[in-house]
Amino acid sequence: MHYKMLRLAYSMRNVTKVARAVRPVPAARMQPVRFMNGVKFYSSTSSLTKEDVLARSISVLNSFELKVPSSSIGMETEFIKDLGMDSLDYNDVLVALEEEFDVVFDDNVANEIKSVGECVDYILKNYTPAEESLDPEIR
Amino acid sequence: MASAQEILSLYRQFLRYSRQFENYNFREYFLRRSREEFRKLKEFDGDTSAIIEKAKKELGVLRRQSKISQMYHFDKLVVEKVKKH
Repeated sequence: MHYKMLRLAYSMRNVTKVARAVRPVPAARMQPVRFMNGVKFYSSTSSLTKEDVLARSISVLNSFELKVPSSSIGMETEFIKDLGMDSLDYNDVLVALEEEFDVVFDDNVANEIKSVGECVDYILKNYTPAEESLDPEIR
Repeated sequence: MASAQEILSLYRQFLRYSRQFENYNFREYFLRRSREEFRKLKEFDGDTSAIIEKAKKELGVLRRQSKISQMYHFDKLVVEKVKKH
């Protein structure tokens, strides 16, 4: 009995030997995975560009009653001066932007903001893509 | 006497919690009410401190109710825009 098992084990060892000889492992596969400058390439880096944020901000602004055509809105557009809003109106916009981009405007930042561009810059600085903050398995 | 900054911060918080309601009718109602009340406050001249105190208490209620609202499922209504993701 023992002898048989030994023989079996021996023959299996031979089989793997043969298999290895027939199918050599490609050398490239044995190379360790190299990480480039600590960049995690399993998740995409923030794909949000300034243009994206501006375009989405304008579409959020469109859901409010604007006195000017939305095509005239740019980075320099100021809420009070150019869009004819009062302080309550543009704070409404800020909260709508918070929901759109999943950021929160700090109280001292929100009190200082006057233009669309300042919002866009703040969003870009504070935006965290969903892929990075959460494991896809549990999302 | 509350500063403009303080009132705007309170306004933002009212809007934030109102937006968090799962139920469309509650959400729209509280957004409408918040906007109306703060517009009224803007026109109001006189001592606002009592109004602000009351608003802060109501903010607590709003916050709690919006959290409770998130614990239940509400079917989307036909008038609601479904988020395109």
